[in-house]
Amino acid sequence: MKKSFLFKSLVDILFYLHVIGLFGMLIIIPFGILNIHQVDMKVDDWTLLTVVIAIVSLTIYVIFLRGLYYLRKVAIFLLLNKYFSEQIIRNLIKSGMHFLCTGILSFLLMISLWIAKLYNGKLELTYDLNFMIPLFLMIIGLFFMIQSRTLVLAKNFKEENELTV
Amino acid sequence: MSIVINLDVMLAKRKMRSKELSELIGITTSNLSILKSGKAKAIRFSTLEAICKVLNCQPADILEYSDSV
Repeated sequence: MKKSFLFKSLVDILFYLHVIGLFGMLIIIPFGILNIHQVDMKVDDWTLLTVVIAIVSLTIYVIFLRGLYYLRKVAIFLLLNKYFSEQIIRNLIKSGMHFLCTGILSFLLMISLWIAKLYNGKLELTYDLNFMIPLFLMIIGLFFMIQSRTLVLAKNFKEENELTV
Repeated sequence: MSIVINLDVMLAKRKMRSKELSELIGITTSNLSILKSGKAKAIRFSTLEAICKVLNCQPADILEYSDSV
């Protein structure tokens, strides 16, 4: 119960921080107040590439936010001790799919930027957290999807056990 | 499911009530109701044994395979 409550609280905090971040981005970016940094590439002037990066980044952000929204729903039902409910199974798979999409898109964006840099005659190999986050998101997304499938199986076993006389 | 439970018939033959049977075999009336209604997905050998013992019958008297169901 305590763990479920802590989980729900943490997911809520992360979700609301991201919502605030989204509103911030929507307000700040169009006025050009913020400089976009993506894989150490400073984008000051709004070229086509910059616009594409901004749009893709924003899309990734929104997808991640949606994943968090579904995870919040999962947390609510976990708090109600409905571990095998249909809502948990459905929301967990949705959350997983969103996190997986976020991871893949972030990874593709990074690769594209790396190639773009390479095109400009700059070869850079970095080993940092920026690279690990999409990978971790993909792993978490896939894990949630597998976990959802496991819950379906567990639910069937539970029903079968309950209907064994 | 193609397995039909004929517990009702056996109970009528033995002139026994469900509540009485459930008390004698040690399962709850709700579980016995699940079994009688055909909603049960499985039956333990121990339950079947107890039913057969109390009703003095064979498993085939209670369970029947029917293709049409």
